[in-house]
Amino acid sequence: MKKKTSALWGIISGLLIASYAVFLLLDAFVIPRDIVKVEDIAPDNSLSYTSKVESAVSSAENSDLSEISDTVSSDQSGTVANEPVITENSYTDENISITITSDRRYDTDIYIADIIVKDPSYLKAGLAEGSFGRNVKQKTSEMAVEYGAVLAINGDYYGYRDRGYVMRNGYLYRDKARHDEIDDALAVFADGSMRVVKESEVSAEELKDSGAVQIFSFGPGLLSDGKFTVESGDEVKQSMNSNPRTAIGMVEPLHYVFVVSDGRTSKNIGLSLYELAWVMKDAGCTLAYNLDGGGSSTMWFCGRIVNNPTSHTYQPDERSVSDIVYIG
Amino acid sequence: MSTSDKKRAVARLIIYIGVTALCAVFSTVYNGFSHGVFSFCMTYLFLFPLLLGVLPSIILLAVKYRPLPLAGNLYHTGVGALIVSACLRGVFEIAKTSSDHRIWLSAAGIALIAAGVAVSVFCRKKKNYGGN
Repeated sequence: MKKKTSALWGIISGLLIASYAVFLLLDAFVIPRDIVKVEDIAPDNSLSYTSKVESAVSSAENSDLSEISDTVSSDQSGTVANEPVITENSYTDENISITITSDRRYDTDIYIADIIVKDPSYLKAGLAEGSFGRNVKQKTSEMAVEYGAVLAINGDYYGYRDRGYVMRNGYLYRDKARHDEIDDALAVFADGSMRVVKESEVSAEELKDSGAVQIFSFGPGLLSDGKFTVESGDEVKQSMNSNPRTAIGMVEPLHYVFVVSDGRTSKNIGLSLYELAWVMKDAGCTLAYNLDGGGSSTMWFCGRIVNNPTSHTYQPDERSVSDIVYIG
Repeated sequence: MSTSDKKRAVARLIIYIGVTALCAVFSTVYNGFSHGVFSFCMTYLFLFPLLLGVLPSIILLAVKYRPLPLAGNLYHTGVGALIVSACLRGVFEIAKTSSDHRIWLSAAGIALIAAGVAVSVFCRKKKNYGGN
């Protein structure tokens, strides 16, 4: 009798623990939740976003920023183009100028997109399936097509975590600060400037009130005021030292740099954060920020994937992610 | 010493040794596919069944103490919950994700272990395997 009771206890408790474990795995990796559809908040949000950017642009017109934006339309032999001029590695229209170069450093192929836009609203963020939410995922290339992007990179994969500020195109989706050792967030402001802040020191609401239109939560910051903010050996949590990487940087407001590197293959080792910071510095950035890397790292340009994304199987494969940063 | 009691205790010890080995193999294989991401919980997963299962089983055998069945059931369930919780924490850390609900599994594990120990201490006096 005692034996039977013990066996029954073992079976029932084992089943309960196993069921809860399955629930936890589904909760962490599969079940979409906390969904907010962009279209539901878009009417108010687009107004506020547009007015913020318009106000920032008008105040910038009398400043040095207008000189930067003028270079966009006078680029490409000084001709003003209504129709975009697209080559394999460049895109130019009256508002946007993009040049992509590839480099091989640290035994790794690196793709650098130099971007100049006429006003800050051309730097945008897109959410997978048009929704904010945990475990809502879509491939970078698919999102890029849906959002009409010219150039896109993966974002911070906010949907893989429950914490970390998330603001996209002027709307604050999540204001829960991270409690991690690295809690750097990147704020993009309506005037096109960027700032790296610590979530433990600045609230999302404060950033919103000071004019932020995008907040990304991954990190760490790589460069600030042209100075390195990472050291050799620094890493995201306990990751290995070399990985595929994605980073966003600013040379000055309206002049940005996207960088994606390959990695995790015999041909491409990948970059450490410190090496990535050097790449950003050499690209002219005064501020740079590390976005989600590894299998997520993807750069898409005018209908094609520029880099060689690798999945967890080390095979060429594009991972589905929560969000993109794009020009368009 | 009752042969059946001793057999049961030895069988429990063997099961915990097997679980320890399984955890060691699992964490080694899992770490092999983790792109070098280190997780303390995953790397040292085998310590949970070793310290909470194998070691107590050896001690109980050595002192010839047989806990009340209810105490044993509560304790082993708690150890199982803690092992699974630690394993999931390792998986989440390597994937750089989390689940707010995992804490409840750890809490249940600790509570069950505490309940098992409490039942064993307060609800039953010591009984020798090799008693009269």
